[in-house]
Amino acid sequence: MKAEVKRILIVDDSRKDVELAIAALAEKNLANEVVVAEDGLEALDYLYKRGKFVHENGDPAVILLDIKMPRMNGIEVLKHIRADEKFKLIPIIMVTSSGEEKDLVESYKLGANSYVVKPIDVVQFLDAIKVLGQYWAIINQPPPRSLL
Amino acid sequence: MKISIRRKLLFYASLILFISGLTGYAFYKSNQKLQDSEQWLQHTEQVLSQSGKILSLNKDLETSSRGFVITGDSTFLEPLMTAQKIIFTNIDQLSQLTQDNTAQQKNIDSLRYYVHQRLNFSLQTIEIRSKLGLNQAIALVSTKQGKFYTDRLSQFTEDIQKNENVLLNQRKQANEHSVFIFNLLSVGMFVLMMVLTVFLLIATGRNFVEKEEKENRAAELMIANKELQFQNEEKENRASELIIANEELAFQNEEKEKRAAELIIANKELAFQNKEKENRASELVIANEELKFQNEEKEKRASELIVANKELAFQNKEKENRALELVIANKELQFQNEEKEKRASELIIANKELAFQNKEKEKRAEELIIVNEERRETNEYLENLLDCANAPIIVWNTHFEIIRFNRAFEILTGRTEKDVLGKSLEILFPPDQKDNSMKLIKETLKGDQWEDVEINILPVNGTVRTLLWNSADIMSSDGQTAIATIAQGNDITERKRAEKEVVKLNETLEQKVIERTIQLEEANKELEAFSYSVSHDLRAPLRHVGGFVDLLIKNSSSQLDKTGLRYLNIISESSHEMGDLIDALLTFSRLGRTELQRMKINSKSLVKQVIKTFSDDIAGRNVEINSSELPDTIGDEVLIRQVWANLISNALKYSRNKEKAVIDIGGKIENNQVIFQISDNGAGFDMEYADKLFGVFQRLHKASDFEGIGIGLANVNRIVMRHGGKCWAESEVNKGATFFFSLPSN
Repeated sequence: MKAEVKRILIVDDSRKDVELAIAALAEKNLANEVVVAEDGLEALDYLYKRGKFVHENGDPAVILLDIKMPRMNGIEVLKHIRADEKFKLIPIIMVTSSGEEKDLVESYKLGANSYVVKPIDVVQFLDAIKVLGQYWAIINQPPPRSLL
Repeated sequence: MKISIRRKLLFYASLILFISGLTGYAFYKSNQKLQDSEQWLQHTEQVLSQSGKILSLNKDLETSSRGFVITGDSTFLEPLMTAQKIIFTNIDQLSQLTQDNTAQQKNIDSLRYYVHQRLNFSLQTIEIRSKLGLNQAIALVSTKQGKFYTDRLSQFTEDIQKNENVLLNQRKQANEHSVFIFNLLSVGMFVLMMVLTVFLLIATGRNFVEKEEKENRAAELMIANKELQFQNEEKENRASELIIANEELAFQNEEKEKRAAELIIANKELAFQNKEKENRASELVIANEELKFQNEEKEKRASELIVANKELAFQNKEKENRALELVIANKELQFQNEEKEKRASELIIANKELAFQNKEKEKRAEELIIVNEERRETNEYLENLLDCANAPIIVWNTHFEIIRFNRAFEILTGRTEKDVLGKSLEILFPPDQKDNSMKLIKETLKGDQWEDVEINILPVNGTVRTLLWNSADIMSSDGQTAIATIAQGNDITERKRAEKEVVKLNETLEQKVIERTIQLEEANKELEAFSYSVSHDLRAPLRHVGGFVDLLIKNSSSQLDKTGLRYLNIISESSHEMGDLIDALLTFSRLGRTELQRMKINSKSLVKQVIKTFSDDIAGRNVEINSSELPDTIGDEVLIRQVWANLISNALKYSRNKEKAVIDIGGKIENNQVIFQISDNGAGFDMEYADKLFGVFQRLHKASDFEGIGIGLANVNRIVMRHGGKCWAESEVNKGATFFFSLPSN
């Protein structure tokens, strides 16, 4: 079964980490449609197509969300996304630099789908995507939004 | 124009043939429709059973993950593994069953989605339970995400079943209608056939009449007659054939009538069966709802009980502490009571002594009338005795006027006997306590003896003193009436002050403890923030060094010579090593901070589970692990599991150069302690360095001989110490090592 990830939104304030993440994704041909937001507020800007993303369109198929960021951290972004009918079904993979227990517990409580530890191990990432992608891979379309 | 009889007969006969054909067709169609209904009923049953199967598989999933979350026992996960394998196949089968129905297909897609979400949630819960422990798993479960998915998928299953039943009803009704129409048609056609047969008979009769007329005319036309007669005979033959044919048709009609009646009965039977199956389906739907409701109730109750248990455990601890305090207070009180009892009995003896002395004095006074001088001397002696007494002593008469006031009292109050003699007792008390004190004193005259009554005295200098009083009545010479009261005080002002101070000191101490606790909590928080920051900020540059060096190796290694490549590899390895060291340090510091979740631990099963996790390391080696009876203990299961994992891992590691590794695990109870031990026949160590064994990053072997960073035993030590236990080890180089750890048994 092949996971069909179309667009990945990477939310991370560290340009170096983003570069490493893209290099890792490129290895598996997954970096063709990567969008980068430099902190939580920019991530929301991208989803709502405002600010510097005003001319963009389309939703990401999956979001890689760093936890520790300035202005708005990953936990707050997660809260926002899960509270919005339009985006609540987008799979979110939390990215942590420490694997700190309390961050992970809080993320899962707020509805994160999985997590990976930095630097992003692409195999670990694909494993997470595989579990999340099962459904879409079977019926080849997103679930009907009217259901939730 | 007259149509010939023959043609008429032919016409009727072919009409009857045609109609009987039509009747046959109608029967065939109605039978087909009935079969149709039966097939739809079977189809619906298949859909209902298939969707029921999916619900039950999902229940297996939930029960299994719940079992694992509550017990941590991985055998609970077996049903989940099975259900996970087949649940989606079952959904596919359901989807195939309803292939032609787009509405059902939509519902099945949604069902598949929620089954998938529910499964993911269970897998997450299991991961959290096994990585982070019971409490975090409960926290995740209490988000009710799982219940949300289960509700949804049950809802969609119900919709699928409902839709299928509605569909079945529609089809059944349509078929029943057709059967009715076809049956009506067959009856109508049968009646028509009968009418036609009657016509045929009449026509045949008429044919005979005409033939007679023709015979009369034949007398005149004898020659032509023969020809006609031949023709008539022919017609007669034909008519009898038709009669036979008619009879045959009538017989066939009767058969068909019978068959129709049988089919009607069969129809009724099928309708009845349909109704029965419908009832059964609705009963199943109700039963499903009931089960769903019970499940929810049980889940709620379980989470309430967990909360209540915690609350009770906390209250128990509080009550135990309080009980301990009370026992101490009781002992103190008992001690004080005993002291007072002793003192009281001494005073009673003293009182009796005094009373006796009084009587003696009276007797002697009579004698002393005679020996006056002697009496005066004795008086003086007594006066001196009173004056020399250390305790303040006072005597008052029945009017509460002071008649004796000893030296000690003068010192206490700063008044002289001269000044107070004949004055009311009231002058001795602080003005605001005067009435109360007088009331207490008056009670002595009613015959109540004082024992250790506390009354304050106001000296001239204004500093109130507290005294403990004992009194006795002085009786007249006949011993019948009290003429005065003598009271002796014991100054306890200093003692009271000291007591107050102790109370105050205790209060300050408590305050100090609270302050200290707050300080410690703050320090702990700071430490936590520090390690959080270390884990994020210290790691970031390291990650970048490692990450980009790896990229460099991957992308540009062709441009470097052998040495350059070797340097890059060393940088990469070192940065990964440092990452491991930081991780180890953080884990170590976290071990000192996380709260212990104490529970009863089944040591035997715990050790068995831990050994199982090392099956990969054991595979391909000759290892013998002997585990004797292990006593159960109390502690944080997650942490104690780590202790065993570290010790067993060490035993396996340091014995890997032996041809056959032998590891013995045992435990015993000794002096309220459980002592566990694990020994191997491996490399061992020099006892000279035994004190370094449990230190952070301390290693007793070369990294080239045995890999590792030297944190495992430090973690073991920290965990055991936090449980109030101790770690130690015994060894000899190349003769194996034995590690011990003890845990309090209660």
